[in-house]
Amino acid sequence: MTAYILRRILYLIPTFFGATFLAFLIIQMAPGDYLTQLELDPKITPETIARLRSQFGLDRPIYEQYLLWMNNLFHLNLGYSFAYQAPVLDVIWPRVVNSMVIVIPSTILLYLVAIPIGVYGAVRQYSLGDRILSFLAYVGLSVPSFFLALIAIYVLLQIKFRTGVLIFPVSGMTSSGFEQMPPLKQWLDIAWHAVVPILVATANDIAGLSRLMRGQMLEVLGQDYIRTARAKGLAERVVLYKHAFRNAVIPFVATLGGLLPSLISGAGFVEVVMAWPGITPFFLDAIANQDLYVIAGFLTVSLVLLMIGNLVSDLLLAWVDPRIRYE
Amino acid sequence: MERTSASQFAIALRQFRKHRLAVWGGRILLVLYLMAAFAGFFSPYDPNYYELFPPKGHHPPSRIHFVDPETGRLSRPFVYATKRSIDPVSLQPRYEEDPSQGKFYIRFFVRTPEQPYTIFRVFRSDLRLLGVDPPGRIFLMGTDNFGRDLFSRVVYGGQVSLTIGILSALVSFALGLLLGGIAGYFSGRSFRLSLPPSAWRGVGLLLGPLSLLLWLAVGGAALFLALSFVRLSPQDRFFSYTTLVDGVVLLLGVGAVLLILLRLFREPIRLDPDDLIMRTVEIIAAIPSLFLLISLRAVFPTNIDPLLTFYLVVGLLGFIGWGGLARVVRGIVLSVREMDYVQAARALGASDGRIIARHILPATASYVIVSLSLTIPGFILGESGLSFLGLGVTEPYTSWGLLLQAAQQGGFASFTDRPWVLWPGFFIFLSVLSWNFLGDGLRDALDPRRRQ
Repeated sequence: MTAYILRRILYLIPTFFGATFLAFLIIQMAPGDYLTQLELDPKITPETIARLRSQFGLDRPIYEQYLLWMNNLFHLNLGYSFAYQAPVLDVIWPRVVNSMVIVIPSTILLYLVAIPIGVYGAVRQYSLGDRILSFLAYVGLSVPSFFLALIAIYVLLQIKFRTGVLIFPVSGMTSSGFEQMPPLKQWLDIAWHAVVPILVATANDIAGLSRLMRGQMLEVLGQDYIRTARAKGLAERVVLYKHAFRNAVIPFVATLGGLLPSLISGAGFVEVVMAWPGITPFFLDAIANQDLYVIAGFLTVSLVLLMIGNLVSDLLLAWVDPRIRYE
Repeated sequence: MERTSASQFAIALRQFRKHRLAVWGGRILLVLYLMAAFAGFFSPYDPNYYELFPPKGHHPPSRIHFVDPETGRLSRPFVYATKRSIDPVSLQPRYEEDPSQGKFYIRFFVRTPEQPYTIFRVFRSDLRLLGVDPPGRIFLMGTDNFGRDLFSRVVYGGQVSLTIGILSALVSFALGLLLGGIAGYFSGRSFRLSLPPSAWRGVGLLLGPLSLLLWLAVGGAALFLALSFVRLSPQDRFFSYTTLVDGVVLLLGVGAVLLILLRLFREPIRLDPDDLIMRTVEIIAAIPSLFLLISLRAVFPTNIDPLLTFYLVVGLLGFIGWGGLARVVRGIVLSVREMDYVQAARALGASDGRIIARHILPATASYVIVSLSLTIPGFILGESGLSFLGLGVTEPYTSWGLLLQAAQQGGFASFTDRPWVLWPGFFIFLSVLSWNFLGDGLRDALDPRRRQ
């Protein structure tokens, strides 16, 4: 087992260098750099540009930039954001925290909703409830999240126009006057703003997870030991939850590691449409600005988390499922 | 009584028919694709046609009347012409029906000589499914900010949205099948990338020194990178964490060179294609796909030729998607490779190419068909998302995502006042849903274990 873990970690090294270099290369391949936009500004002299360029290291060859950046990375320094004039980590972290306000509850909600739907679908296969639930799950899967967000905004605003009551806010993370609120009220205000984005962000993923759960459960329910358990005269509840369910959730343990990088990678389009100050709109801005180290830094952090996550899932899987062996 | 056994296809077809939603998905897709193929016929107007005077920007969907107000009886469906005024408060255009200009009956199979179109860029025509006599206009889904008919634009947008899904799926399948197949089939049969001097005979006399030079260059590059790393690192104190990092990197560089030299003269350096391809898949999968997609899109300028942008989006989506497929295909090929019938074929002296084409690829066919139909909706969503961010297809082409982007460009008011601009979203939804159901039905039909 130790040998297996060590080998896995060794394999991670080339992947890490490969992926960071790839990310770096992709960003560098984009025409121009951050200073290209400043060149258009008549107030900034070419000398200033040249000075800034050498200060940022943008005049060096790509491999030198990469090595310098790597060097900083080993000192846990992700570099410096051109656009914000601040260290990358300081710029990214608040946005990531904002995103987590949506991502964490939505992930919990996802598991709370999808797993029972899947189990129900397997236990009552082809019943009316199963059909309706899986139809709804497919509807959720098929709605583009930005469209769902637009619809939600439309409905909420229409309700507001008709009744004058804004049930949930449609954009942003805080109300006006947020700074003056007492801390508890600030929390409530953010939670109030987060409800719709959380629901929208969850809708897409329910289908995938619940279908997986349903399939797993069906497979387990078809096995001999379930028949044995029933033949012994065990209560159906015990058969389902003690014998079947516990084995059916094992593959989900493997997905837990994948949640680690998704914690920081944001809620996607919902953030863009609903003006949530999360990581997705921030990343889009960084790309538009060619804020090199912000992009590279963010990709690196999510890369490291993904690698750790994959490793953790494998270890968890081996721990939960004694049938899995590593030589 | 004579009973004929059903063919595999007939069994699959019967099973497919049982899945009602899949059948409906297929029908809806048929309609959508027909509409996209014969877009000119189904759209009442040219998608880029608009009037300067009187302007028709932000026109709501035309009300279709079935009852004649004069007689109070049912009549042929007709629309009224509209009169434009500017709302004094919101400064937005308002349109009111103007019965004084008379009724404009909806007519089928009308000809519009002033707005000809082509089908498949070959057949010219001006026959349209429905229309009204000018100066009346019929806007089934209203107009956009220029006054272009939204329904016509949705029909034409379908051409892009629906084909991009299929094309990107094909690209990613070509890559996934090829690379996954190679990885699976040649797994454990590594290629030799160098020749030790002891094997320098025949062709090796030429290739051997060449490979030697190549590997020396690789080693030199590694050493150079390690040295550059040390050269570039800030020199602060005599011994610190920095020196430690430098030392480790230098050690790694020197170690890599020594390792290469050692291997070079003793045994050939081998590379397992399986390792190479699967590592690449891992690297691509390691970067969050939305961010990878956007970053890759940023590599190319946004103001390139619209047709080129179209192919670019196809290529990018395909490139993002092949990894997962390659992984599964590799798994299938790895297991099929060891089957008795493949061993038999090999024993009979069949070549690698023949074994792959005749014995291994057919084994992946049902999986490929099913996952093809299940990945297409993902690509349709991907394209719409990219276009929604303004990074996808550009004017004069249009897609449902792009139309939806235009819908929310003016802030929330632009679609709360004019909800009809949200129509393109329903088309994305409908097509993705139909593809999902179709794929689900195909999976049930083609997988013997899932048959009822």
